[in-house]
Amino acid sequence: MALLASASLPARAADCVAWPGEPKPLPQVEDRDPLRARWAVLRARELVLRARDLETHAPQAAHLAWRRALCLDPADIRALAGAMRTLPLRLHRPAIRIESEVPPAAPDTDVWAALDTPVSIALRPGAAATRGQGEVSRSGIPPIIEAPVRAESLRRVDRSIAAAETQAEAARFDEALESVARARAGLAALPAGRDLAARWLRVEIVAATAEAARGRSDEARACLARVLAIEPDFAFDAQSTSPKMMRLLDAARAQPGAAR
Amino acid sequence: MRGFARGLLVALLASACQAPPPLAPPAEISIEILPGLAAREAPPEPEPERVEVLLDVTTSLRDGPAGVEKLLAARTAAARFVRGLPDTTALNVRTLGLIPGRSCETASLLAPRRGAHAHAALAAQIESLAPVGEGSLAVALAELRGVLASAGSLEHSRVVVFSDLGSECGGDLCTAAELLLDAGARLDFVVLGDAKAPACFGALVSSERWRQAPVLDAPDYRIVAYDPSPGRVPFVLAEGRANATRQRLPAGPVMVELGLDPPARIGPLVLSPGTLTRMRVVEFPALQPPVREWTWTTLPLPVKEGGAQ
Repeated sequence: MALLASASLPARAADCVAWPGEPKPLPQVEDRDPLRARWAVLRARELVLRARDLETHAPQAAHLAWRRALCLDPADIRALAGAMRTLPLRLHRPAIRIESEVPPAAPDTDVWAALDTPVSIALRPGAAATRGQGEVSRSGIPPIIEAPVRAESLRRVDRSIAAAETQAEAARFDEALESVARARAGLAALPAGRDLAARWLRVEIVAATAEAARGRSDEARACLARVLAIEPDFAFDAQSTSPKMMRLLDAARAQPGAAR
Repeated sequence: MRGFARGLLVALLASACQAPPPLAPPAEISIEILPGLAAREAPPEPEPERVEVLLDVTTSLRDGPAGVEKLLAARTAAARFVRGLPDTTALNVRTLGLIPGRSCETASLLAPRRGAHAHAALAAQIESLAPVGEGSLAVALAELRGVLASAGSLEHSRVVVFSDLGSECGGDLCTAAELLLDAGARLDFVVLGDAKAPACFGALVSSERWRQAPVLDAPDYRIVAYDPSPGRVPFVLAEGRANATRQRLPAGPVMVELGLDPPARIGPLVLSPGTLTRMRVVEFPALQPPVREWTWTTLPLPVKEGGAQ
């Protein structure tokens, strides 16, 4: 899932200046002044009600109200979820999966949520690739990745994963996430195979680490949910893993539908 | 004369009873409202949402090592989305790359379908699209904005773009997106491939261009001398706007009256000489139930040199 700016939603300083009539500086629910804290609690409650009122009919106004509620209570998960739901501009990066058979669409799926789900493309046995010829038939040419090409693709993916791990260890988390993106794109372009699972696992673990280090707990949890989808019994080494990562893994495991 | 003297005495005594209390050394007070929304507004009337799909199937999607996958993925993702929308949702699909040629062409509208399975038919059409030309995503979005604006449908439109964000034909994607957002539309970019999104997209999200919900205005107040005697006309010591401005007034017991709805009477409280009493009122009339809470604190006023306050 790639919702634009989701990580930077809570309580950005530029967003959280007091509006006309509001106390300055804008209080938060943990303000040391009990009355300002009380105001923040009540105001957040009011904004949540308003956001819910507006969400169906005026999602942009609802988005603003959710964000405002986050300014007052940055730890409010409901407000974060609401702000994410109503983002006026969202970016989705579904993985592209080449599969021997395209699975049927799940019934009753929320089409908006499904914009993030991987796009499966059928691999048709016997179809010929015309890569480099610049022509695509009207029915669409299934991509065939021949063995040498696949091996080279895997080497590139491995280099990206190794780079991501090194960068994460060196606390260069943004670079690590860029390497993760390259690795994911490389993996997504490869036909599914048993040799890919371990690579996906490494990618998602390093992505979770980098996202958590950047303070993007939701993204980190989503990565760990994918880890659990690959390896349901996955566990961190408690001695060498931060309590935060342990908690995120527990949270990912506790999500509805999580692999157990 | 005796009658006149007695009358004068009665008049003097009466006026003495209604005279203001003797002036005490001054105190100060500030009153501040910490307001909530003035009122809970009714949500706007619902209007049907319309969806505009802009599908980039330009020839550039098949360029590069992952080109075939991107093209197929764009078609597949768009078809999946269209097929999943209820047939009751108003839908238009525009495509970029279906006009043959080497120049950058405009987007073209796929013929809308009506009735049952209309979206399934559109989805099938999408799956068979093949690129024959090029076009600018930014220009296509700007054109789409114009179309929606002329139809008066911007505020209730969701625009979904399937693209690899190729910029072969140029155009300012940031401005195009911003114009759509400013007009109230919502935008979803489904990016196939690993092209970076323009950095401006993050800034567009943070813009506060939407209407702010008004909070309660600071009400007027008046401070009257506290006198519990029945039938007494309140003697007003000070009046003002409850915006935290400090006000000097005689020390002594007072009641504070705030022009809220319903009005608030706070007190009695004793204003001591040489002190500042800071009163704050939390007022949320739009909550159910409404909330009104107050507190006050008293601080010594700084003593100026020479003993004067």
